[in-house]
Amino acid sequence: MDAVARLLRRGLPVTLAVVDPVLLELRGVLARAADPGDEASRIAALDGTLRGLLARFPDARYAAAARALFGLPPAIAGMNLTVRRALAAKQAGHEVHHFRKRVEPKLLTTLAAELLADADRFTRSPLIAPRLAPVLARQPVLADPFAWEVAEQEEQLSLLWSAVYAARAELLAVERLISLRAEHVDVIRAAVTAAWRWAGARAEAISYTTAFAPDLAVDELVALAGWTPVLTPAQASRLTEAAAGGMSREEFVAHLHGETGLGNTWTEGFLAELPSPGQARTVARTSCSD
Amino acid sequence: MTVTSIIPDLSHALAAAAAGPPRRYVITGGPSSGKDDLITAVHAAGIPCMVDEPGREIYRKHRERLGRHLLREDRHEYSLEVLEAFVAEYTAHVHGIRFYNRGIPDGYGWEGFFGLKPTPELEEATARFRYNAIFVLDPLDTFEDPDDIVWAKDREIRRVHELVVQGYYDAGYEPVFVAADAAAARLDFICANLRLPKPGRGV
Repeated sequence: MDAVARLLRRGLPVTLAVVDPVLLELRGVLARAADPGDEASRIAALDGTLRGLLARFPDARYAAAARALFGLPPAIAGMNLTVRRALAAKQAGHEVHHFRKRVEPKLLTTLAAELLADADRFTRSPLIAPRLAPVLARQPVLADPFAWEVAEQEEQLSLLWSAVYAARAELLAVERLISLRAEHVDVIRAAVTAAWRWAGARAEAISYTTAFAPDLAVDELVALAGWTPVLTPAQASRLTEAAAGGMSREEFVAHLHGETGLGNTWTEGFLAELPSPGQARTVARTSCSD
Repeated sequence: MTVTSIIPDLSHALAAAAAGPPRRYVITGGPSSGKDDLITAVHAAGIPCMVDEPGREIYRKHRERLGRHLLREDRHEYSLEVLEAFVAEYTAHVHGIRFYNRGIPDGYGWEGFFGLKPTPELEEATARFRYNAIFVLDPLDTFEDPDDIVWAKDREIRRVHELVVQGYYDAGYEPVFVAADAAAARLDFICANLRLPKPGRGV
């Protein structure tokens, strides 16, 4: 709110002299900036964001007043605050002192809230699977390149999450069989299936991040599926190659025929004795203190 | 069915403008903004208007050629081809009023959506080929279902919309926002803004 009030001194366009750095860190501003690392670019993005929000100011009664207050028509750029305020008060139909004391703070609060809502619209939460709800009507994709791109992005995102959950299911199955003290051969079979699903999830994660989210780490996405034995980067790549392109479990296994070391690392990792709860806590504390 | 048709005053205004210098107006907005319906209404009113957005065919062509979705490294070539088509549309018009189904600065939205910087070609074309007015269609949907669940796709569509708007601000325009409404009412609003007679409704 204070940061928005500070902008009033000069009005729009936003300049470096009056801008509070906190506004330049808003997600909506960073997302719009042609070069988020460049301050001038972020200032231009903040300016555009504010102009857009003021043009669509939610309170129709005071929309023209809010615009005038910030130097947009009916005001003009370069007018000082006193002149802009008088013009805004006139637009709102209030006496100027009443406007300054009673109305202006509310307009600033509304604009600040709009800025935050805008930032929220740019929140990307790709590490949370999309929530689904019943679809009661057909949802055709508009014949528009933007719509095609966005639909394709959601397709890839859905494939990613289906692969992550498929891997999770198999990793859980391995741990359940170990807990049940199932036959060794059954545990191994489940571990191989888990490797196939895990590698498939990793392939999807690579595909998704390459195309749509280069800022996301593949390993962080795949880690959501569950715990796995520690692999070297080369081993992880080898598994991924074997599963990429929608390979069946049989094809995956055939592809890795002869990879005894990799197979042992994966299966023995699961079969190694579990640390006692006390040891686990110690390990966790050690990891956290690193 | 309500049909938008030309009223004589509008015909006269268009005819009078036809001999004059070009006046180019862009209609833009993100997906789900009702742009196609409005463009149809513009055509029905007899107002000169771009028929198809060139990006559609070019996108199809690149998608077909690659056999997969466009990756970041494919975008430069694609963007340049789209830009070329938009510039051709722009320069082909030399007299009178014409509406455009998106404009050259929409390219900023494309690039921004994929985290890319605008190309020098886009910057140059934006500076050189200027439109007389930009109309941004507010989204028709609130993108929220009754349980307040915002779909990932809908969030992205909203993001595209805001990036398109920002592109026009970056290009030095002050877009006029057209509130969500029926296509005919939106066309009336646009015509009123341009001081053109409003097309008749329900004739």
